[in-house]
Order: sequence, then structure tokens, then C-alpha cells
Amino acid sequence: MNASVVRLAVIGSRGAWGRLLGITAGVAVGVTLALLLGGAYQGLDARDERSSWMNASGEYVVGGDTRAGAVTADMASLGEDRVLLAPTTDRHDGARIVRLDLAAPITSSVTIPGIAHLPQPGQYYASPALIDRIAQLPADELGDRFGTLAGSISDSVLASPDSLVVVVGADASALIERSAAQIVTSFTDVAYRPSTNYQTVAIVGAIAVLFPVLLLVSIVTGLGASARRERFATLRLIGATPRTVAAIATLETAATSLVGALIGVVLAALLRPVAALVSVDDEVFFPSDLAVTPFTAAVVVALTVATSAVTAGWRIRRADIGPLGQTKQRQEKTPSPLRLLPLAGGLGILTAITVATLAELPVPHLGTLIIIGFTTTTVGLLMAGPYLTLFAGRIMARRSRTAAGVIAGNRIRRTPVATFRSVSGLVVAVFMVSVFAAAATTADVGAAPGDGPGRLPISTLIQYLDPTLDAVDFAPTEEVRARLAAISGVTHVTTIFTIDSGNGFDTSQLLMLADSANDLSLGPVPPAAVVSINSDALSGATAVFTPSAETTDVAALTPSIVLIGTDGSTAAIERARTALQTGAIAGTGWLPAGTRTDHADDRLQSMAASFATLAYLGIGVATLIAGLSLAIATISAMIDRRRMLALLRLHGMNLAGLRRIITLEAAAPLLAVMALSIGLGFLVAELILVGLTGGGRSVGWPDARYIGALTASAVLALTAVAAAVSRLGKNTDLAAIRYE
Amino acid sequence: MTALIQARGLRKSFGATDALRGIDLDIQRGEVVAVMGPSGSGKSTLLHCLAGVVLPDSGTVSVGGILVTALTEARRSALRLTEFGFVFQFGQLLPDLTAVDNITIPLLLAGMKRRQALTAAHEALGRLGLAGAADQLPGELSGGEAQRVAIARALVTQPSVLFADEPTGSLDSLAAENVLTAMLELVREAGTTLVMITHDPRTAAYADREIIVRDGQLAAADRVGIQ
Repeated sequence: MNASVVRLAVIGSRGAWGRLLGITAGVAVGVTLALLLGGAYQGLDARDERSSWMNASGEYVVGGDTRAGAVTADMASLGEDRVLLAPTTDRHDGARIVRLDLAAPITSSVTIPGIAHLPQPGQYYASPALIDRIAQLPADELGDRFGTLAGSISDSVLASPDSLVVVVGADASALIERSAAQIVTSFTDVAYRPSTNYQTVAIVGAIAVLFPVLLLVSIVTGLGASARRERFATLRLIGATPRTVAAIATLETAATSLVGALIGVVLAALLRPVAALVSVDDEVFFPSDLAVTPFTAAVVVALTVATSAVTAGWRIRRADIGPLGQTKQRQEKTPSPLRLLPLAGGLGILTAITVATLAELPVPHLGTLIIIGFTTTTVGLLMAGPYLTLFAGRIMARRSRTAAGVIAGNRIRRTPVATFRSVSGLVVAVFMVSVFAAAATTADVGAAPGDGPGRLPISTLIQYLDPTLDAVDFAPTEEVRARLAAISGVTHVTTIFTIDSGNGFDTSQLLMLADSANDLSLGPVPPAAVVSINSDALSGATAVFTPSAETTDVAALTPSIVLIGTDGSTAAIERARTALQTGAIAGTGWLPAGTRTDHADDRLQSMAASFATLAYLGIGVATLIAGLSLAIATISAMIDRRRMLALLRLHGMNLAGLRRIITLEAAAPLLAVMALSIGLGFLVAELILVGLTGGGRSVGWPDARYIGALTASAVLALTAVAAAVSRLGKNTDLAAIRYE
Repeated sequence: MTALIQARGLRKSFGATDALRGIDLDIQRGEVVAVMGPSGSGKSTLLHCLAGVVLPDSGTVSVGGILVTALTEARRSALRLTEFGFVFQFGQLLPDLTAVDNITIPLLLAGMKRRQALTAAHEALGRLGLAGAADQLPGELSGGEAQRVAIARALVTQPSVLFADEPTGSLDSLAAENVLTAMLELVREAGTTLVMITHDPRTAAYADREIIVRDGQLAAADRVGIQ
């Protein structure tokens, strides 16, 4: 093939250059996102693996074990190859701190990755983020909890630059009484459980984002198709064979997408530090986590180039361009109702799972089946789209009373596949956002209620005491109570008791002295020496005090919980928390104090909220790309039909009429399928949640972000169409079109 | 008698090319005028200027006493809608619309109700012997049928002037004859003025008057005041 012919055929005009630039930019965006998403998927695994040492575990200590080799309160009993480890989750200002209390003889041969030496009692090693946080705060708010800083934990063993981790040295005697204490022999090669939930979300998100990207690439490679067909027809007229023309198209697209893909690789590398700022599970990434291997990048580039080039060649051969071009418009095959079947199939799978779960029938491979059902429904929505678009077009063509409506309606009914393609990215984005927004509403089910009359304020610290210990050891004496109460910002210190019924402590029966109950100001307290408070009051339910039926003997009660009221300032809460950990009350180490918001967060691990944030982020990107695709598709369709639109102007249609045609052509399929997307999104979320939880959870009304996302999609669609029609006057300038 | 179309001193250039170099022309109401001349002589530019599609660099065009060259684009659009019809060589029908829907478009643009527009369009098709092709798409019509649909669309609003640019240029002689006969019958019946560009002397022979454009000017015999 003659290189000059290829050059003239491909870049023979300024318009052709614009088209090639459009393709390059579209492919570059696609490859950038693909590489970043691939990196994020790998990064999730990498950070789990890196921080797996924190999950080291071993045999729990058995108190009073007197066998040879048993671990006792004596540090020496650990020998050189064992350490005593008590992991807990501490908190500061709402952030979780992984705290590992460790007792190890100085001669211990056990090592922790990323730490120079094991900390001795009174010392600690902390992650850089925690060291920074400690340095910025008064010691009595955070630093005093841990002792003296011995060194920092290397980034190489941390999940994220944000990770708050501390390894605190302790005496064996201090840890051995803790229920969480266990004997650990190694911190390396710890088996870890990958964040499969996040990885699943990453896969689903990748599909949601990559679909519009593929669509964008498909649309930009079809840019200026009409002018290009004319050019190729001319080549055919002067002797080029169909194979030559297809080869030129393939070569053109291969070269353009190669340039685009390489730019994408560079862009992905440049954007990595920005993408790393996305928080997953409350922690951002190290930029290096998002790096893909050169091999992966090469595979992505090769696949992109090969797919685009082969598709371009196939399209040209299918277009069957003869020496006189395409004299007649190629008719689209009318979509049949069979296109609804995959959608029905997907919904059928999800419904069957739900019904089986509710009937308590065993469902093997539940997770896989749900992913299959979800994916089938998504693909089904895309397949059903053209049929629904055809339906909308038929109604519009029949019912319209205006020229614009008749033209747009007929155009839609004749080309439903192409019409739907231009809006399908937005349709998928809206479907996905509806599914995730609806699913995320379950996070609110377990969230702690806010402050209100009769509710324990969220500024109150709750300190559970270890009921297995001798009550005398941790009874908060007046002296301790006074010390806590003297902390700046602490408003009251109240003790809640349990009673030993003879069969152990009954933690469902929480008792208080009536005076203390009055101090809480949560509601009427009956006139009795000892009153009972409902246990769910500690998780935000309205407090109800009733006279104690069990006892009125204060001496028979065992302190079980200490409530420390604060003025709500972070400083006061953290000062109180630090004071509790540094020995204000003995026997509290097994569970650090927390507010009821902290405890609610512990239960939820903020996973659902995290999923929602990720989903919104992914869908935000997808929506932007889909909007871009819609704009390009609309402009492209307009350029390809400029002669026809100009003819309408010639016949007396004004620009407003032309604008209405273009807007209706985009709006009709959007409206037809968008409402379905939203409804389906909620239905699918409900089916998945009910299926996963056996009916335990159900979707609610989504939050403002959902409305925001929908509004953003609508605004984007309008902007895309507005951007396209803004060129209408210029593109259909009567003087610029040849009528013959 | 005052001419329906009056052009005075029309000049139009495209870059360095002078397409029209001072044209004066009068066309009477109901007159059928054939515009002839070699390729590139300025025939199409003249037609576009007369129809208000293109504004001349200088000179004026008035139609029925309205100074077309002084109107805004919106007013010229309205004038084209109500007073002018257009027929071209090919590719002028909207490919997604059936024959009958294509014909309704100018009527809908003029504010007619859809049902009435469909009735009028069916009548127009019937007059041109195309009643059976009403629901066919342009791609399903023969060249002659498509041209007759285009003529029906151009005349359905009963314009004062029909501008036709090589209306039979893409047709075989039999089809051309049929199309031309049908078009002339309709315009004469309605008293519509026809300005028709053609290369074909046989087609021009059907006209009341032939004018020849050469190098952007009318041939001496066609100039105003000499005829």
C-alpha cells in the first residue's frame, strides 16, 4: 500500500486532523482510567498483604495455667521465641488507631516487620501519621496513652500513609489479665483475608467506569464518519479495493489509538498521586500501590490498539463503501422484543435468590450468583435499551404535532440502536448509582441516632469494665471519680452496675443509684435508691428508668460501666479517654472507652458508607465520560446530517426548530430508559440486600448525594446537548452547504 | 406590470472568484424561467441569491415588493417557508421520514395541525400518482418517485415561487419527462412562478423564457430592458 495514499486518505484535511485528535484523546482517557482502576484493584490486595502482620494471632492465655512452659505474669516465662500480644482498637477524634500492646523480654528473637526492636515497657513505636498527630496535640489528649516514642513504623508495613498504628511495650503482668491477650511466635507470613468486598466493588466499579470509556472510544472512532466515507468512496472510485480501504482504516485507527494509549500510560503515571488520595476503608493509597507493572501496561496498550484497529476495519468492510459511496442509507435492523429477555433473566436470577433465601433454602455460591444476576441485569438493560427507544420513537412519531417532533420521532424509530448508544453511558451510570445509593441506605440502619431528649449524649464516653475481674480491683472510688471529674471539659462521672445473680453477671440488667440517674438528666427517675436503665440506652435509645426489682442494696452491686460526660469538645473527650487508659480506673484495658458513635462505627466498620463513597466516585467519573460521549455523539450525528438539517433551514425551519430536533433525539431515549434505570436500580438493590441478609435488611430512601448525582447527570446531559446545538448555526449555515 | 422577482446589481464573490458580476433580472408572476449556462457560470449562486439563501455582496432582491436582501435570517426563513419551494437534483428528502411525513414537514412548520397536514400531504401525493408510496421511506423509492415526492413537498404550501436546481439531472429521460410534466402541470395550475436551473435544452424548452448566465453575468439578450 502506498504510504502517500494512506497519508492523503487519513490526514488530508483539517477536519481529519480534528477527528484523529478526538480519537487520540478518547483512547488516552480510556487507557488512563483502565490503568488506574487496574492499579487500585492490585493496590487493595497489596495493602492488605503489607499490613497482614497486624493480624498476627496465637493461643489465648489461660489464666492460672501452671503447666511447664505456661505463660505467666513473669516476662521470663515467654522465653525468647514468644511474645504476649493484646490487640485493641483505640480512637482519637473519630479516627481508628490499631493498638498492639506487646510484652516481650529484651532478649526475644521475635521480630515485627518495619520495627527496629520490640518495644520495652513504657516505649512505643508508631506509624508516621500517628507520630504527627501526637506531636500536634497536648500529651494528655493522646501521647500519654502510649509512653515514650522509641521509633517509627516503616511505611513498607503500613496499609496507607494515613494508617494510625501503634505497638506499645508492656509488662507481661499487665497484659496477662486481658481477655484479648494471646501468645504469638511470629509476625511474618501471617495469613490475611483480602478485602474481597472492596475488590468486588472495584470490579463492579470498573465495569461501570469502563463501559462508558469503551463507548467513548467507539463514538470517537466513528467521528466524522460521513466525510470519511466520502473520502474512502473516492479511493474506491480511483481503483482501491475494499480490502485496501479496510486496511487504511485499520492502519489509521491502530496508529491513532497507539498514540492515545501511550499518552494514557503517561497520564496514568502522572495522575497516580491524585488517584491515590481516594480513600478506601478510611485510608488513602500510597501512589506506588496504584502502579501497574510494565507488562500489564503493555497488555492494556496492545489490547486497546488491537481492538480499536480490528473494529475500525470491520466497520468499514461492513459499511460496504462502493465507488459511488453509500447512495442509500443503511437501515438498522428493527430491535425485537427478544431484547428484553436478558433483562428478565437477570431479574429472574436475583428474584429466585431472594425467594430461596427468604424460604431459608440453601443457595450454593450465593455471592457468585448475585454477581451473575447483577451483571446480567446490567447487560440486559443495555440490550433492552434500543427496543425501549424504538418504542419511545414510535410514540413520538405518531403523537407529535410539530415538525421537530415528527422528525426526531422518526429518526429515533429508524435508528434506535444508534440513538440509544449515545445515551447508554448515562443510562448505565444512573442504574449503578441507583443500585449503590439504595444499597448504601442500609448503612443508616445501624448508625447511631443523634442527640435528642432522653438520649445519652454522643459526647459521653462509655467505659466498659471487665466483669471477669474482682470487683474490688476496679471499683471507681471517690478519689478516682474526683480525678476524672477534675479533667477540664468533663461534666460528670457516673457508674452503672450489674448484679451477680449467682450464675454470673446479668449484663442485660443495668442498675444505677437514683442520684446518679438524676445527674444524667435523661428523664424522670422513680423514687427508689437503685433504679434500672434499659441497656439499649447506651446505643442511643431513649433512656427509661424503672425501680429496681432485684435489689436495693448498693453493696451487692458490681461496677460494670462508667459514663464520663463531657462538654462535647474533642479535647475533653480525648483527655478523658487518655486518663482512662493511663490508669484512672483499673481493669479497663480490654476495651478502650468510646462514645456511642464510636461503638456504632465499630459495628459497621463504615463499610457500606465506604462502598457508597467509592460508588459515587466511580459513577461520577462514569457520568462525566458518558456526558462527554453524549456531546461527541450528538455533535457527530449533527455533522453527519448537516446537509439534511441545512435543507430544513432552507425550507423555512428556524434554528430553534433544529435545536428542538437535536434535543428531542437525545431526550426521548434518556427519558424512556432513565426512569426504568432508576426503578430497576432500586429493585436490584432490594433483591440483592434481601438475598444477602435473608430479609434482614431492606433499602430505604437514598440521601441527598443520590439526588445530587441524578441532578448532575441531568445537567450533564443538558450541557452535552447544549454544547452540541451551540454549533448548530455554524454547521447548518445555508451559505456553507451545497444544494444540488 | 410589476415583476414578482426583481434583482438589481447582484454581485457575489467567493474568495477571489466572482460568482455574480452585476445581474439585473425581472421575473413575472406565474412565469416559468429556465436558467442555463455552463458549469461554474453562477447559475446556482443566482438562484440562491434570489431565494434569500445567500446574501449578495451588493445589489438587491425583492420578491412581491419585499426587499429580501434587507431581511434578517429569521424573516428570510419565514419567507422561504411561506412563499418559496425548493427542488434539487437529489438527496433532499429526510431519509428517516416516509414520503407522506416528508411532505407534512413544511405544513407543520407553517403551524398546520398534524391531521390536516397528513390529509393535505396524501392529496398532494395522489395528484402526483404516488398514493401507494405514502408510507415508503426515501430509500425505498425510485429516483423519479423521490423527485415527485420532493415536488409535492415543495408545492404543498402553495408557494409563490418554486426554485428548482437541475430537478431532472439525476433521472433517465423517461423519468425526467414524467417529473417535468408533473411539475409544470402543478405550477401552471396554481399560477406558481418557476425558476429552474438546467443544462438540458429539452428541459429548457418547456419554459416560457430561457436566460443564460455566463461568467456571472446574464447574456446580453436576457438583461432587463433589452428583452
